[in-house]
Amino acid sequence: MIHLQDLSRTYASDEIETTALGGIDLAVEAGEFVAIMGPSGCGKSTLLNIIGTIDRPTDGRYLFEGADIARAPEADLAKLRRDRLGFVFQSFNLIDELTIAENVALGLAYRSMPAREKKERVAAAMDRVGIAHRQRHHPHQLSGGQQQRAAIARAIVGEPRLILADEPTGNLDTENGAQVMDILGQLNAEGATIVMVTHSPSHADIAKRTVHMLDGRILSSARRVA
Amino acid sequence: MHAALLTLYRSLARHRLYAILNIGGLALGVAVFLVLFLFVRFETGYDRVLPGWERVWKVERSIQFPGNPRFQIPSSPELLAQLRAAFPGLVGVRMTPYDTATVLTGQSSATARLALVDPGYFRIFPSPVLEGDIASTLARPDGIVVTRMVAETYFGRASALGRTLTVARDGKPAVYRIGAVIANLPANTTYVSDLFAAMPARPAADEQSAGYGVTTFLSLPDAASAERIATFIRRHPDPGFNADSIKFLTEDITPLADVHLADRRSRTVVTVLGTVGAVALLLAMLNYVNLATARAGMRAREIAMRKVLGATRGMLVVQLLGEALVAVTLSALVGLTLAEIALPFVNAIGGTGLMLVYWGARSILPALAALVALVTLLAGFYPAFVISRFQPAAVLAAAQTPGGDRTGARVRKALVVLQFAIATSLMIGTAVLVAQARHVQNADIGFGRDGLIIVNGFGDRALDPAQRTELATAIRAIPGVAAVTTSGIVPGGGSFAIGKMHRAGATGDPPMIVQGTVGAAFFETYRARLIAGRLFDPARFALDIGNGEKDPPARLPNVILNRTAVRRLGFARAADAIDQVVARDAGAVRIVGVVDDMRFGTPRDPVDALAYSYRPDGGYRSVQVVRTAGDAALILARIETLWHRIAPAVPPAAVTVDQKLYESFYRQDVQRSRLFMIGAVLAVAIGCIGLYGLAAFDTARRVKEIGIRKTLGASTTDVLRLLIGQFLKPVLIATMIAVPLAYYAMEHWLAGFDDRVALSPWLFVGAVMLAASIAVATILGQTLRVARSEPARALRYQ
Repeated sequence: MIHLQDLSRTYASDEIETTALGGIDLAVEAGEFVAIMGPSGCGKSTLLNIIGTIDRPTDGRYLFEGADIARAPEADLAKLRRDRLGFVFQSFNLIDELTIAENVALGLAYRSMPAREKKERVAAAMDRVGIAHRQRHHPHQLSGGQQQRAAIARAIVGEPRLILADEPTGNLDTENGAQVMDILGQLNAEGATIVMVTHSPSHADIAKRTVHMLDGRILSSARRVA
Repeated sequence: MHAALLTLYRSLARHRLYAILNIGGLALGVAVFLVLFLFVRFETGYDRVLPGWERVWKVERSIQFPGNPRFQIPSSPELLAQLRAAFPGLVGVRMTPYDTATVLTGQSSATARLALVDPGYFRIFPSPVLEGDIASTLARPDGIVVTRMVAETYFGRASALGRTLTVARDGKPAVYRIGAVIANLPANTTYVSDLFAAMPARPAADEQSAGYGVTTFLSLPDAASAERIATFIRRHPDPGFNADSIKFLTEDITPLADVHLADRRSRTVVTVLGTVGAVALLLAMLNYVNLATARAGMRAREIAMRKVLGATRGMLVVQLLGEALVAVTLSALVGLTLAEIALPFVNAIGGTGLMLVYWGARSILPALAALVALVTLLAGFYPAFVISRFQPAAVLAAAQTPGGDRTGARVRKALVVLQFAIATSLMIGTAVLVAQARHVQNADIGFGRDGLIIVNGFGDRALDPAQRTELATAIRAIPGVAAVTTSGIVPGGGSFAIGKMHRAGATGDPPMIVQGTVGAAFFETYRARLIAGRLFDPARFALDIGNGEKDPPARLPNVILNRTAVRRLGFARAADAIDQVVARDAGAVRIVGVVDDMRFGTPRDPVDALAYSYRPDGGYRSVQVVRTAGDAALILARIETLWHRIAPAVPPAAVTVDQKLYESFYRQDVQRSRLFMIGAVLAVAIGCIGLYGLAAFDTARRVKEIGIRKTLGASTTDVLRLLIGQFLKPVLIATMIAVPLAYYAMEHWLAGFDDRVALSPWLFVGAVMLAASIAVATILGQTLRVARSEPARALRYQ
């Protein structure tokens, strides 16, 4: 599904140039659950952002289902995100002004489909993560775990082929973290491809493969022995 | 789109302060703009309400003697016939206005505006006929057309057709029969009247001698024919003028629609007020841009999330412009409401008759819709552009919300500077306007204007000599009347002549000097200042009027000059003029005294050079002027009571000199100044709203920094000084822009006044201090709150 070839990302300021990623080669096949681990600042989130097309590589190739999208026009990338990707963030990124149901519906806001279908999908997604009873509440009225489940509902409402999760349990306690991981595990079992950045070895264990990074490079890639 | 609107609504509801500042500020801007737009439309739309106004031209005639202001004079009654002979088929009409005709009813009388017109007048100035027939009415010498207002005043709701009205002009009453009633004339028409009667084929003999003239209007198909007529008029000057004067005469034709704003100063006023309206709107738009970009940071997460979910930049720009459209539409509606509420107040203090029309040809709605579209694009585009540019990865990764980049901050600062520069300029402008308005009303104008009453009715030719004597005696006897005089020349006008005066031995063109006639105790009543020589003396009455009997030189009439006349005649000092003999067309005169200039005319023009001659009765059409020692209003009332008893058929027409000067020369300036002031004050308020919003945003962003500073030992005062200092920096830069700009503009405006205030530095210092104080007061509350907060709490703040 995803092929990254000799991918790099550098940030240049007036005085210095920082390499966030250098020479990354990574392939993710459909149906995989990949966990990316590594110390803070090693480039995990940058890599995830590039995979999610909300950041661009400085160099190298990024093939998504065979098409090189490293330098694709912004409009094409927006369409790709709209139709095929789902995002889950550590800090949830829910919009305070909208209710939970409206936040979830935002996942379909830029797609054209009948209103009734949108409504059904939103209800199904909320049901799926167990927050249907909170649909009229605003984000700040919910616990962290509930907010993250709402964020997952928003990510899956569009039925994406690839779900990108950036430390989805980072802001949660153990119990809520476990619940979120359960949901991600189920989604993967149902066929979704998942790439997740995490600091937690136990959560990485749930993934089928763990990629270790250091200083912008991939150190190792190990498949879980079932 | 639904979610986008919902986000906007909830965002406004949640950030109420922001919503109030943003929508309220914009609404205020829209309201100021609308009101001043109506004013500009009213002023520039003069006479354009008449059907066919594009084809109507007016014959202009003016005369300007060297060193004197230009006088508009009526055109010759024969001109139209001459033009018709030269241009067969030419359509034209003549009109003579009598603004102080008198309608007599039984024992009382009232002033009304009468116009004597050619029968075809209403073909060029069409007016809806409510009843009767105009053509047959004006075909009769005793027919009269009245406006609905007149008909209702005298005959109530009953039909006025066939009823009679006794109307006196120049003291001669005539009975007219009403043959038609027309609708009241629109407020913005130049040539208005209440009564219209047929112009006699030949003017009466005394009218000819009194400089009888008419206003001539022509209906012309295009500019080319107008040019042919104008050329003809210039080539055939009025033979009625003597050779000396004719070279100072200017004759031309001008489109009717240009007549109202023909004076450059009137046009300037309209331009300035229109600019104030546009500036108020501009300030409000700058606020919108500033607040929207400042607040962009708070929305960064939402926008980033939308991008993550697949929104393209185009979609976001459309969404943000949509939000701007909603906010601007809301502001426009609130602004419209504010304007509607403010209009009666504005009309009362501005002396205007502005109104908002919603339906029909003059509907405000298309203009409002265009305004909404324009403001949406202008104010919404930059924030939409900035906000939609956020990079989602960077925004979502950051622990804190971004506040826009350095360019954004720079743009915001520049906009604040621009806003305050405009606000400070307007403040200085207001200060100068107020100072000038005060000055013209209180300045020393060469005579004691307090407690003076002009009894204009005294000059009405309807008064017979017996009534005049009886009135004079009775008025003199009113307790509190300190002095009484009569004169042809009075503040605000009166009758006078103008002619050359020649000093023996002088070279060059002799100056044109206004010749005014005055009666006994004139200078004493006015409290004029004698500079040299003596005043007219009742004991030397015969000598002063030129009937002295001893040696021939004493037979010359005596004159008293004003200071300007002395200078124009070329005397180095006032004393040098005394006992000198100067030549006039009407014979030589001897100068016996010099008084200081008395400003009887507008403060805009220089005081005329004036020579006063003595006449026992005050001269031609003289009016009475009364100096009161007591309450002028009370004495005015007593005069009216006496008047009604002694001369019931003549309107009393008495006013205080203050009133007369105000009505004739100050009123329009004062009213326009007030409109400017309101606009300026509101523009400053809009500027403050912007500053307040930015201060709120900025201090909120700096809570953490302030916490660190305090932890490191800064006191509340240190922090206050820092924050206020930083806010005052743009205000200071703005001042440096505003002061020269305002100085130039106000110097230009004051150049239109002969009697003007000096541009004191204190006016500038005061306005700048006020602007700075308002700026500090605006931001102080928030700054203080942040500066006083505990550092620990500030450091926890995200």
